[in-house]
Parts: sequence; C-alpha cells; structure tokens
Amino acid sequence: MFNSGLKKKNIELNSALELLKERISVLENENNRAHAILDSMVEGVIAVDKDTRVLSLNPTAEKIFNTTRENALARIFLEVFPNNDIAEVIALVLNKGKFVSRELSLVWPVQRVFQVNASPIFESGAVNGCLLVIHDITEIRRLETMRRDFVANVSHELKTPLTSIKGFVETLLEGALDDKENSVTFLKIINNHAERLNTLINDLLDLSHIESKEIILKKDKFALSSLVDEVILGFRSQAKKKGVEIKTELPHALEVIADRSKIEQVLTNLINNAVKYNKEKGSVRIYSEQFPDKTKIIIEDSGSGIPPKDIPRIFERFYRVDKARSRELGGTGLGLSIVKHIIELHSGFVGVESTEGLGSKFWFTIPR
Amino acid sequence: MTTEKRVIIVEDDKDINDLIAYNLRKEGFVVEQVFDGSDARKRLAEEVFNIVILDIMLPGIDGFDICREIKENPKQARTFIVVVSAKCRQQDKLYAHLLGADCYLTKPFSLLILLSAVKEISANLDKEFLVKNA
Repeated sequence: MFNSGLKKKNIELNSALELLKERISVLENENNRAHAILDSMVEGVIAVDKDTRVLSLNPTAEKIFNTTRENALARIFLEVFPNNDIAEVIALVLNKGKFVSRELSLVWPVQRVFQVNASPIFESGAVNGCLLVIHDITEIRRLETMRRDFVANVSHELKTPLTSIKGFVETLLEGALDDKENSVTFLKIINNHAERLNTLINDLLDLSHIESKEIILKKDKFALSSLVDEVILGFRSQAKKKGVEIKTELPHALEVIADRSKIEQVLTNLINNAVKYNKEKGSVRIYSEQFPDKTKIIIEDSGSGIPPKDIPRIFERFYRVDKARSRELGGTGLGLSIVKHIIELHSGFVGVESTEGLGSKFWFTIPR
Repeated sequence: MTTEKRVIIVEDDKDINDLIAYNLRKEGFVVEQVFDGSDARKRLAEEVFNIVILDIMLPGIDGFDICREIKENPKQARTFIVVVSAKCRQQDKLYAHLLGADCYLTKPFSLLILLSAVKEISANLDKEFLVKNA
C-alpha cells in the first residue's frame, strides 16, 4: 500500500519533470527563435531597463556603434553609446510611456542617418524599460538627395534652351521680323535650341533606359575594328572640317563578346568627344590592349586635356568641365554618364587619364 | 527717357544674354554684357549701373553673392536688381528679395514682362531725377 503510494507519487513527479523539461525546451526554443530573429535583423535593436542599463543588443547594433555585447551589457546607455539624441529619446519613452520615432544623425564612429523607433517595455502596468529599433537610412537619404539634384539639373537644362526659344520668338513677334540683319540669326538660334532640347530628351531617355535594371543585353561575338570603322565613318565630315585625323590601330582579329549596338553608342560618344574637344589639326588614336581576363580599348585625343580637379567627377550626369564650351558644341552633359552605365552593364570599367594641354585618354574594358 | 540708363547683363548663357541685350538696346538703354560672376564683380566695383539683370546659377561666383555685394556697396545704393533665373522655388525668390533683389523672373521668362519691369524702373529713376533737380 505504502509502496504503491510511493510509486504513484514517483510517477506523478516524473511526469511533472517531463512537463517541466518540455516547458523549458519550449521556452528555450522560443528564446532561440527570438534570438535568431534579433540576430538576423538588418535594424539595430537595443533594450534598456528603466535605469537605462543595457539589457540586450543584437549584432547590427554592435556593428553600428562599434561595440560588443560583452562590453555593453548591464552598463548605463550613455557610457556605451555616447549619443545624446538617442539618450533623449530613451528618457522621453521612459518618462511618457509612449512610442517615439525620430530621425537622427550620427557623426561618430561614422557619419550616418538613422530612423530611431523607441517603444516602452511594460511590466505589471508600469514602464520598466525601452526597446530601440535603429534603422540605417543613410543610403535612402543619399539617393533622395541625388534624385532631387537630378530633377533640379534636368529642369535647369530644359529651361535654358526654352528661355532662348521663347525669348527670340517674342522678339521676332515684337517687330524683329522686319530686322533683316538679325531675323535670320534669331531663327537659327531658335532652331539650334530646339535641336538641343531634342538631343537632351533623347539622352535622358537613353540614360533612364540603361539605368532601369530591366534592360537585357544582346551579347554577340563581333569584330571590334569593323564596328569602330563604321562609327568613324559618321564623324568623317566633322573631323575633316576641323582637320582632325582619326587613326585606328585595332587588330583585325580582335573580337569581343558584348551588345554591339550598346558598344556602338559608347564608341560614338567617346569619339564624338575626342573630335569635338580636340584642337584644330589634332588627332584621335584608337587602340587596344589585351589582358588575360579583359580587352581594354583606348581613345586618345590631342585636345586641351582635363584639369585634375574635374577628373573624379567627369562621368557624373550633367558634370561639365567647361559649361559654356560644352553648350556651344551641343553637349548635353550626359554622354560620358551613358558610356559609364553601358560599360558597367557589361561588368567592365571606364576611366580617363589626362594631361592638361596635351590631351586625354578615355578607356573602357570588356571582360573576355 | 530723360537720362541715359546704364544696364549690365550678368548671364552665362550667351544666347539669353544677347537676347536681353538686343531688346534693351532697342529700347534705348546703354547695355554692357558680362558672362560670369567674377567679371560682374569687377565691373560693378569699377562703375555705377542703374539696373543689373542678374542670373543666379553662374560659373564661379553665383548671383546671390553678386546681389549681396551690390547692396553692400554704397556707390550702388540706387542700383536696381532684376533677377532672371531657372531657380523657381519660393525659397530662392525669398532669399533673393532678402538680399535686395527688386524683381525676380523665372526662366523661361516673358520678354514683355522683363521689358515692362525694366521700363518701370527706368521711369521711377526719371521721377527721382526730376524731384532731385526741381
């Protein structure tokens, strides 16, 4: 009787133990799951108690603030993270018990912009801590600024020719039609600016098409030298007018695998620049260098060269070394940007070397 | 026109500069043309102009700086500034006015409006001249 009672108790105890083990394992699993979620988050997560002592932080938070879990745990927030703005957000949350969201700039250890979302942690109805979720929005803000600048640039580029067109039309309507000496000049100016607007819009469309990732390259194997010859043909009269000689030194057997029409556009833009910005009676030389993994094509001109300060920005959209000269020669400020995008689509590189007064060498590579 | 009015056009786009110059000359103004900020600064330091037609986005020194410098120069205290710019945001217009611009036209501007603004300024200058010499 006694024995059986003991046995029964033992069984009960065992099953309770099993239940406890199960519960613990469930809790452990939940904990692991929570950790796995926290560890894989791209946002930084930091939890602090009501005295702002750090309760936990995930690897992203470690990375953002250049610290370690071991260093941070149980210490006062400001000791570990010398950021007053975030400390203020925490104080606000602990004080008011309400969700706070703010955009903050961090200058140390690196310059970044963060969206900080902070919510209170409640325990039996009272605020007992604060949970911070920190989202790095530096790149988003940078892209926004870039887009804003681009829109501002485009509208300026469109408005300038439009101002001339409108102004000269008004001038003609207001009586200049009878000004025999000037009226034809004015009409020519109007025509030039209409052409310029058209070129600009075409370049913008090209650029937006290349930039949209949907573009599919139609790669083929083709002889580069025959393509270069075709492109040069289009520049014959322009080069002749300026007395510029175009020399190609590409081997006939040189073949590349690329999108022929896109590379044609690259060559057109580069050769156009090499002729346009060349000196009278100058020369353009087109040659190649072979590497085990790539083909490098170089377009060398004998123009005035590019000042060193402009070289890092020369492939930027609307960046011009000499704005007045570029406009005069019908440039849109987008040609090199288009070149860069096309070559990058081919996983190649572009670059320029230049000596002021002597000329420039623009080059691009195509992987073999 | 009672007195000869001197106008300086500060505009880097040659065609737009020529456009304004042609029309103002036709109206009898004495016109000088400059194409960048540093030439504008130089000429405005040397001589007094009645009216400045000023672009904002100029190579080198921008139009806002030129505008400020004109207003800081006691010699140019009676110089009227007409801004013509592609910058069309309210804050740019406000900034130009704070710096002392008398008129702000956004590109593409109407030539007739530009001319009537300049003619109105010129008429006011004449009135002032008559009062002063009465």
